[in-house]
Amino acid sequence: MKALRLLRRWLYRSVADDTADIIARQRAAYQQAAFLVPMLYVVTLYVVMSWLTFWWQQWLDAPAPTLLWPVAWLRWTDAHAGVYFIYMLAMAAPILAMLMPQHRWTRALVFLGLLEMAALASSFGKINHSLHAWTSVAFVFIFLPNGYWERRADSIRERQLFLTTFWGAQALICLFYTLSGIWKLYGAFQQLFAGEMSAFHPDALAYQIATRLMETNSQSMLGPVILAHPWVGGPLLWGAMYIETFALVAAFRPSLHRLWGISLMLLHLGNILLLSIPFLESMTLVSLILIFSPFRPPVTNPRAVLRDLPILGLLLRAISTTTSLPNTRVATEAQRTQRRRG
Amino acid sequence: MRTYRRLQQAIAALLVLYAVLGVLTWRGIMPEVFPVYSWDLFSTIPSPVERDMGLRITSVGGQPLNPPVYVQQLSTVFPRAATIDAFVTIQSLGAAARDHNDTEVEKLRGYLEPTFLGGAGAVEYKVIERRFDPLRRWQTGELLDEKTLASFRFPGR
Repeated sequence: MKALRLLRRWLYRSVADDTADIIARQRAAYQQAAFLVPMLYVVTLYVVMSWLTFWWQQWLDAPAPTLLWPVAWLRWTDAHAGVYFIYMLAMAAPILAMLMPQHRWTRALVFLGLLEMAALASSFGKINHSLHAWTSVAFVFIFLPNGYWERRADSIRERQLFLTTFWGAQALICLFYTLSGIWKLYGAFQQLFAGEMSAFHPDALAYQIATRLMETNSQSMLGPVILAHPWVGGPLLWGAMYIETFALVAAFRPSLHRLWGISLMLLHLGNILLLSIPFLESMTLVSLILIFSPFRPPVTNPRAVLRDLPILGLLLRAISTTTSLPNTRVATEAQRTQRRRG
Repeated sequence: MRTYRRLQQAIAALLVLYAVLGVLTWRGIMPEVFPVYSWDLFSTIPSPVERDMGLRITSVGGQPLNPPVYVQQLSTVFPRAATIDAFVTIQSLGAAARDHNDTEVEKLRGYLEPTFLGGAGAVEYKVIERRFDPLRRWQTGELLDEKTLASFRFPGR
């Protein structure tokens, strides 16, 4: 129990301690989240159409060799009609949801449409993970409050239920990146102890880029720069590992939402420019739900952001307490007194 | 308040369940449960002696290629072959050919040939296992060695 308490305190360390404007902030956060949800459905339609424009003919022409469970029903129907039904569902659902986001059935249809389309795309020998994050967010959004959001906006309880569900979607996406970061760390230590080249080697990213580009005989805009100067890639890879590993911690700290949203967006941009891997769907998703997070502070305080950085924040605070201890303490005490009076 | 607590618990349960399933499906401990994924992406660095499978085209539309070339280099003839989906399928086909798993080879050919080699008439190709240093191969195209695992003919579609 004590360990759980310590974990909670560490995760939530950036939550504001002044409660004066908390209701106003909750209301503003609710309005932001209630605006973002239909916007996400607008972008969902774009995502669906960009996939269908490229793949629809191939999915109709070639029989899928390994039908995944969500599309297993295609075995017992006319394959062409079934695939067309999936196309129609995937297209119609986000249109309905952007027009009527307050109805749970429209949000459930979006999840179903994305699940079916992603399963169909993944039934051709390789599971494609590009739509996993989008599908997961659509799943969590099913549990947003049902009914008229405008009327519910007056209730603190309803607003909190809405925001908590929205945060659930943010946390789930951040968990994906954390898992990815943990495996990279695990792989790095495993290769390090095996005496192989690991992610801690400055040239590691160059090897990754060369191998990846040769898999598809493709070119990338900035890959040749790293391949010509492999040591440049080291800090980029280490930065990416840090951002990924601590993404879930950042979800618990509103001051970090914007920074992590920008960093994850840049990480995906880097994947495109260096590795020619276009995870465009995930890039758009993290940009929307983290950069424009309803929980981010109204004004970004760089010092608070630095203080809340996982691990690095502890180091920075340790350095600042040993270098400027008296002044910092006095200032903090004065701020607290002022806050109590105010 | 009770609904709020339940919602918090449900979100925590979802996160824990996803993490557990993600870990269990990692590196094939159990099969991937769509749409859950371990998110194990680029977690190992390719070694300076890397190994993979390639598809070398020896003839297209009845015309022999001299010298034969790997399928990704013929992207104007086979536009879908220069995709990661094609690469992954070729790796599976190579592994099945190396293990003499004829059933799997036929199943993979049934997908690979019409999907990635279609539209250019009859195609003859070899499945090759390659060893290479990634940086050296990128700079010079040089391979350490190649081994032919199987030869096939796709009549075209």
